[in-house]
Formats: sequence, structure tokens, C-alpha cells
Amino acid sequence: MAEGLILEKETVKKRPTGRRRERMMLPKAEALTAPINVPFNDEFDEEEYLRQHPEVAEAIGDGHLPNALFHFRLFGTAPRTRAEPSARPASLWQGAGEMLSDPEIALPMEASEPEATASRPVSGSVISGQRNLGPSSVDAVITSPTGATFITGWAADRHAPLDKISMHFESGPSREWPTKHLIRFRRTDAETALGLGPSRQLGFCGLLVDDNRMRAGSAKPRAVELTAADGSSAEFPVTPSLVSDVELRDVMLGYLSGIEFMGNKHVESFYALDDHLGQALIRHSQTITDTIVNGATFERFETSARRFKGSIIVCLYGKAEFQFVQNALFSAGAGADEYEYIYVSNSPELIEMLCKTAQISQRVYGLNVTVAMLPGNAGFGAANNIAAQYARSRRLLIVNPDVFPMNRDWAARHNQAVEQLPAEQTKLFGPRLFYADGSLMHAGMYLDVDWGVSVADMEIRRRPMLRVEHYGKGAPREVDAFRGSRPVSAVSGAFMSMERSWFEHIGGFATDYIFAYYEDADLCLRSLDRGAVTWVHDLDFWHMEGKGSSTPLAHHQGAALVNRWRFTRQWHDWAVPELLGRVSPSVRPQLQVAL
Amino acid sequence: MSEKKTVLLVSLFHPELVRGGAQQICYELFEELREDPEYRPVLLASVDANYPALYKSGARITGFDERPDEFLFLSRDYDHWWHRISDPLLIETYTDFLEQVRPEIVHFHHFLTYGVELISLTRRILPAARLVLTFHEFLAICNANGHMVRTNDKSLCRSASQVRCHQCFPDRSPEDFFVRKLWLQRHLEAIDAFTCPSRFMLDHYAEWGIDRAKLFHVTNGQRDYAAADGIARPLTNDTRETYNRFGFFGQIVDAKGVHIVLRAVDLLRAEGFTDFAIEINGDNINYASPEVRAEIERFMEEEKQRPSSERRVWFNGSYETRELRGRMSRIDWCIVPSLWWEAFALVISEAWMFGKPVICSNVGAMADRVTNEVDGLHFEMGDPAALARTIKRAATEPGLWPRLAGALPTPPSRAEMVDGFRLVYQDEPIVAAEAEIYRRAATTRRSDNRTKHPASRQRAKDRGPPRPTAERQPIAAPLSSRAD
Repeated sequence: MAEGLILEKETVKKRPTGRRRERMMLPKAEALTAPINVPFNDEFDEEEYLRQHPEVAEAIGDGHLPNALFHFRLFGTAPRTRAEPSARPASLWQGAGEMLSDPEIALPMEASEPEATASRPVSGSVISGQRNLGPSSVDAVITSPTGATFITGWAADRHAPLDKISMHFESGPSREWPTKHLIRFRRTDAETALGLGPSRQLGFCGLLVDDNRMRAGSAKPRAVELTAADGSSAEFPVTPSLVSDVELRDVMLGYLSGIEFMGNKHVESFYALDDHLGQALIRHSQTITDTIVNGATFERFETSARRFKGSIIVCLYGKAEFQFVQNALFSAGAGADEYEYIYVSNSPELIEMLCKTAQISQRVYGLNVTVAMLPGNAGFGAANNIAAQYARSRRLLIVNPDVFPMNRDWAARHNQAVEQLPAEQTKLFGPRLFYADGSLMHAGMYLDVDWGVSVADMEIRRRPMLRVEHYGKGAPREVDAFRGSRPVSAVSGAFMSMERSWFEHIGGFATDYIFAYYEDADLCLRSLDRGAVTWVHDLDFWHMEGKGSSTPLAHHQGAALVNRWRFTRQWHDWAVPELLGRVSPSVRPQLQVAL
Repeated sequence: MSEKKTVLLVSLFHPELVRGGAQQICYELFEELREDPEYRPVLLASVDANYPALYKSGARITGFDERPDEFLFLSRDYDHWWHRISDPLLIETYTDFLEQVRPEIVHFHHFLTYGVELISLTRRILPAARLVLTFHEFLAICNANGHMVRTNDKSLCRSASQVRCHQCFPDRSPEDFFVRKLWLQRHLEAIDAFTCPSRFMLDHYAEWGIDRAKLFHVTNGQRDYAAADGIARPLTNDTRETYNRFGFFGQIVDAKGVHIVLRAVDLLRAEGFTDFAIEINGDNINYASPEVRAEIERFMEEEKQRPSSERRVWFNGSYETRELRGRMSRIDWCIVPSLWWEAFALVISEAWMFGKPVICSNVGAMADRVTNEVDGLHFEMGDPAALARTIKRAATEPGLWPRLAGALPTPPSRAEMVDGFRLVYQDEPIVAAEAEIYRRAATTRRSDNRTKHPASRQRAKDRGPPRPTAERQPIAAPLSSRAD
């Protein structure tokens, strides 16, 4: 299914540009803070950045950082000229060697100082009169105009665990959060610097949201204070980076995808998301989605305004070139003109091209094409929901941009299925999907569970994690087991055909999955929960899996993790054990399912 | 008298703007049809950024040089992977053009620079028109310039597949090629009849997925460049002891294999054989790969440094067709060392016009047209040693040249080509009735058709016009039932 990307297009180029321009980095009218111009390179020169920061390259190689762009966003170290002194990014602890002899002395490090050097005095910033916290650091503070702040650092708090984190603003007020708003993970760089083994997770990060800030205006944090349970504390002057909500989300997700835990990463990630971060991320992303959705509009390129037998909805992201291929292939057979096409773009930079292609397709094939335009990436679910609003038929076909009909008469076959099969089999159904090599890619989906086991702190923890699998993936086309009409737990969002009224009845796609992944299974399970089983019928389509959108980046991986966590939390108890494995689902008593 | 049918000829470039085989053939057809009582031709030729002066603000299709019925399609933003244009205004203008010209037949000689969507658009705007497409190479099948030569080892490719194509272009996934094929085939479905100038091409396209019933062989034909005032000029009897002058005519690019000739010269020199001369005629070396270009330029420079008595290779630069007479008169043999299949190799026809036997690579259209040891000589494609041996033999073997030159076929004329296309332009029911005639024609041995040179050529002329060279596969019979 389609994935989302951030509003600003990431371009990592291999040659330096030397060109900069200022750019507005703020959502639209609803924002309560004044626009802030933040200079940012049009194209980030990864090679040059890593050349100037070999320690960053090393950190990436060790898995501490996902990529150089991520580090640049966090710490804002612009590629410097040859005359500038070497600067160590603040993500790596500084002055470790000096403190090995006295680990109890607090090290309030100034975070996010691009030109900070290893020899900087460390005692001057300690607030006198306070009992000092153990070795610790606030590495980065990234804040957005809507009041969300991402903070990351580390603390050797084995003897006196962190209890709360406070933020002191320039305008005077302070705000504090309990440390359950933070997740803990390994910081091998801090472990190495302190000479500690992997006995405790020193790192911390979190998404702190201060609703008051939205009302107060652009309050800028000046310091972050860490307080332990025993009352010891340390205050760190900070220079926060101000970014858009979108960028903040993507930085966090990218960071999440790269962090290391003691124990099984997947299991520990799930636990880490449980307390606060998971919901905070989802709420933050939902805020972005809502803003984007409010800015949706559309344009129609049509031969004649009328009603259609079906509305083919295609959610595009990052790549638009399959649009004209789809138009050509879907329009080839008889009956194809009874369907309209709605392309909804999660990549605003593609809009102009989509409109041109729609105009050409309307002329060349006589298609009726609607281009739904979003000012940003609303994610797969919300984008499809928006497109559904523009549909002029009673049947919605959700189709990936990399799906093409295997048969010229796909429309006739689809019409036949809808008109002749029992109604309960056509409320929501999917086709068989095939790889380009001719083997089966999908004949419906089923649920399974991974039981992750994590061993850390002398404790064994097991955690179920739901997984969605395809029936028949890689099987030869002729296998009988995957032919004919079959009830299944779910079908892929690469191709879903459903009654529009049913789609609306069950609330459309959930919009709180981040970017993409699991919305299709979620929709199908909600359908089952509300009384309609999902089916697979003998309609065959090609699916160039993964070719219809841009290559996933670190923040997509982070989003996939959060989505899986969310999906498991919602459906595990409901689905297990009856829906696990290759079962033929039947309608179950309605249950209230809540996250 | 019934009204003439309008034939819209869609040409890749105009031969007077960009030289090339496809556009030359299309223009030959255009000129011949102008005299036809049944058809009225209209030419639409594309132009690209090589001629910015021809682009006019706001215009997409314009006239050409005050010539009636000749128009230019001002191509822009062409996607060479998908073979499409992305300018909606170009699409609109083409639509208007079709509606104004309203041809009964649209004959595409290419989709390059136009985009394949124009084929589907043509079908939609003119549902009753007969759409014909002539393949001049394998561009629909092969992303490597349509040559079907593998990029990794330069071997000939006989069969395209998504994985094999990915091997030639590793930055493109197998799925990319799969979708590309779906895309191109979707549009080519709108074509009623495909023609290829060489028989072997039919098999390639049939295997790729073109309906065999739609595939026809129609030879390329040209006006006789050796004729003056429209009358074929009989050649004088040429009796010499040695025929050791060789010529190359064509683009100085990798696929044409000039560097193979130069390597052969080096080998001959090394073994002490220097009783030969080679003239290289052509240009476009700037389109050669850096490696081949460097090799050729190095050879040229070294050759220039030699004393005149030791020079064996002369580079004459580009030429117009009106210059062929002079350049052909200086050679005995024409070398066609192409490193790809060649769709037809017009240069072979040109060599025959001037009575020159051809030494050529033993593949594709070259092997189709030149019969080894009968009217020409083959050598192993890409093998300089094999070419060197052949050159030496050609230059020294007594009686070889007169024997081969005396058996040269008459190259297909423009009229023959047009006769072939006329058949393809007709609706199927009519063509089916004549299918049997051409099935019989296809079974005739090549030697029966061949007119000997020079006297037999005159006798053939006395017999009347040659029979049409279009060979249609019978509706009911598969391609494999052809006699040859």
C-alpha cells in the first residue's frame, strides 16, 4: 500500500550545491505561533557532511544514527569551510575522558552547539546550591510551533533513577513531565565513555507536549532540568531547533527506528511505546493529518459528469509515473469507461504532473480522472478517505499505483463478481495479486503472532506482536488452494473493492496509523467486527510490490514499528485465538475495541 | 474518379534535417505516393531541440519550408524510457491536426519523439482509420537503442525478458521492464498492421508478442541513385586483375563497426599485406562511445602521420546521396561491418545500385540480403581477423569479384516498396483474397528473382517491373509455413 513522506522532499545529493534558501517551515493558518524562517539547504550533501564529521559516519556505522541527514536535523551542524575548527557534534558525549575519575560529578553539557569542542569547560554551567545528578546530558531539543518537543539525551541514573524532566522557557514559566513520558534505551557511546557495561539503558528520549504552549505563543525553551527520585538534579542550557510538526515527527520516527535496547529490539520497542510515546506519536501525527486533510482540494478531468459503476482510488506517494501506465492498462477493455479514476497525492510536488497526466489520459483514453490534492502527506488512510469523498459511484476500488490488470476484460469480470455473487461476499473483497515473474503474491491475508522474547535486567519478558501474512506468497499461479472465492481475515490495500456505503458505515480507513501499513488489515477486521467477512475472488491483477512509491526511509521504518504496535494493541486480544493462522473467518459478536 | 485516400505518414525526423534510414524510407514513400492515383500523402515529421529555430512560440505542429503537405511536429519533454510526451498541449494539437487532415490511413514510421500514446489517441480520434506501423529497429523490444545487442558483452540478443533486460540495465528492475512491455504493447494493440523491412525481424516481434497475423514483410526501397535522368545507366565492363578498393558508408558509431575495419587493417599490416585501400565515408563520430571514438580518432591520427605511400585508410567525411556516385566509383567492395542485426541496411541496396558486392557481418538483415559466396561475402560479426582474411581474399582471389558482381540482385525499388505498402493499406478482406498470390511468391527461390549484372539487368528491365516484394502471411497459415 502507499506510504507517506514528509512534506519537504528529502534530497540527498552526492555533490555539494552551495545554495541555500530560506523556507517557511510551518503548517498553515491554525498554527498559533508566528512563522519562523529557518535556513535549510535545498539539498543536503551527505557525502560532504560525513567527510567533515567522521564521528557521525562512525556512529551511523555502529547503528547509533540512521543517517547523516538525521544528525544534521538534530544538531544543525552545517558543512563548514576549511578554515573552521573541527566541531564534534553534541550527540557524542564530550569530555568523557576527563570525568572517568569522578563519575559523580554532574556534566551539564550544552546541547546543540554546533561549534562545541571537546575542551569546553564543564563546570561553569552547574547551578549552585543543587545536589548534582550523576553523569548525564541533554543532547538535543527539537520543538515545533504547536508545542511538541522532542528531547534526547542520556543519564547514568542507576543509583538515583530519573523521576521527572522539566523544561524552563525563556518567557519564565516551566513545565515538567514524569519520566514515564520518556523511553529508555542503550547509548553505547555513553557506556563506552563512562566505562560502563550494558547494565542499564542510559539513553532517553521522548515527545513532550505542552498544550499550554499552544495558547501562550512561541515560548522557547532555554533549559532542561533532569531530576532524580532522590532530589538530585542537573539543569542544561539548551538551544532548541525549531522545526515543523512534520519534520519533528519524522525526526522522532527516524530516531526510534535506530535506537538500540537491552534485549530484543521489537519487544522492548513495544514496551517502550506502551507508556506514553506511542500515543504521543500517534496524536502528534494525527494533528498533522488533520491539518493536511483540511487543506484538501480536487480537480476533475472528465469527458462527461455522471455516475459510475465504480471509483478507482489510487493513493500516490513519491512517484507518479505509474499513473499513466495504469490509465492505459485499465482503460483497455470493454466496460472500463464505466469506472472513474481518483488519484490522491500524498506528495504535493507531484500535483502538477498528475494534473497534466490526467488531462492527457482524459484525451487519449476518454477517462474521467479526478486529482485530489493534499498539501502534505496525510498517510494512506486519510488520503484514501478524502478521495472517497470525491467518488461518484456506489463502489470504491482502492488500488495501489503499482497494480495493473492481468486481463483486458477486468471491468467485466469485476462487474460480474459484484452483480452475481452473494451480497455478503462483495461488501468487501480483494483479488489475487501476482508478481511480474508470474507467481502469486497475494490470495488474501491472515493474522499470525510473533512471540518476542527479551531478556534484560535479569528479567524475561514475552510480548505478542501481530503480523499480517499473505496467502500463497510466491506460489505458482495454478495452485488450486488459492483459486475460487474464499473468506479471509483480510485483503491487501493494494486492491480492495467495497461497497461505498459499507466503507462509510465502518468509518473508512483509520487515520491514526502513521504513513501506511496495517490500515488495510485494520479495515478488514473492523468490517468483520461489524458483521461482514472479507473475501477473495477470482480476479487477477499484477502487483509490482514496492515499485509504486519511493524507497522507505528511516522514519518510515519507525512508523511501521509504531503501526504494528498500535495494530497489535487494538486487535490482539480480539483476534486471538480464533483468527490466528489460515482460518476461514466468520462473523463474530460485535465487540467494543478500544486502544 | 473516386477521391484519393489520405495517408498520413508519421516520420521520425525529416531526412533533410536529420539523416537516418527510417526517415529516408518514409520520405521515399511520401514522394512515391505523391504520384499515386489512389493516395494522397501527408507527411508529419518530428523535430527536436537540435533545431530550435524551427520552434515557434505557442505552436506545436507547423508547416515545413513552404512545402505542401509536409508538416513538423515540434516534440518536447520526451521520456525515452516510457516513450511518451507529457505536454497536454501537444496532445491537443495532434488531435486537432488529425481532425483537420482526417486521413483514412495513418502510417507510423516510428513512435520515438511522438510517444506511443499518440497511437492510441489516433485510434480514438479516427476509429475507422487503418493504422500501420513500420518497425525500423527493435525499440519496442529493446531499451538499448533498439539494437538487441547486450550491453554487458555486446553479444546479439535473441530474446528479451524482464530479467535479461535487467542484466543489461542493472539500475532498472525486472519489474520495470515488465511494466514497460505492458505499456508499449497496450498501445501497439491499436495498430492494424505492422511491417518490417527484413524477414527475420518478423520472428523477433512475433516472439515478443505481436500478433503474427498482423506482421508483414515489406522491403525498403529507394530510387536508383545510379540512374541519371531516371534511366538506369548500364555499367561498363570492368575487367581488372585486382579489385582491392574497399569502402564503408554510414555513421561512425559503435553499432556500425568501423573500428572493426580499422582493427582488420592493423592485422593486415602486421602480416605484411598492404595491397588494398579503404575509404571511410560518414560522420556522427560524436555519437560513438568514448572508447570507440578514442580508438577511431587514434587510428585516424596515426594514419595521417604515415607517408602517403603507406596510407591505406582515408576518411572522407559525411556525404549526401547525390555524392554516392562519386564515392562508389572509387571502390570495388562495400564493407558493412555492423555489430547489430541491422533492420535492412540501406547501404547494401546502395552498393548494389552501383554494382558493388558487399562484405558484411553474418547476421540479421545483412545475412538475409547478401548470400555468401553468391553475391557477396560474410565474415564473423565483430571479428577483425575474420574480416582481415576476407579483405585479403577479396583483394587477391582471381575471378571472385567478377563472379559476385555478376550475380548482384536488383535492389528493391521505391515502387516495389510502395506496392507492398499498398497491400498493407488495404482492408483485410481484400488482402486475404490476394494472400494466395503472395504465398506463392514467397516460395520462389531467390536466384530466380535475381537479375544478373550488367547484361541480365537490362534483360530484367525488358521484362517489365519487378513483382511486388510485399509478402503476406496467409490468414489461415502460421508464419512457420513459409517456404523459406
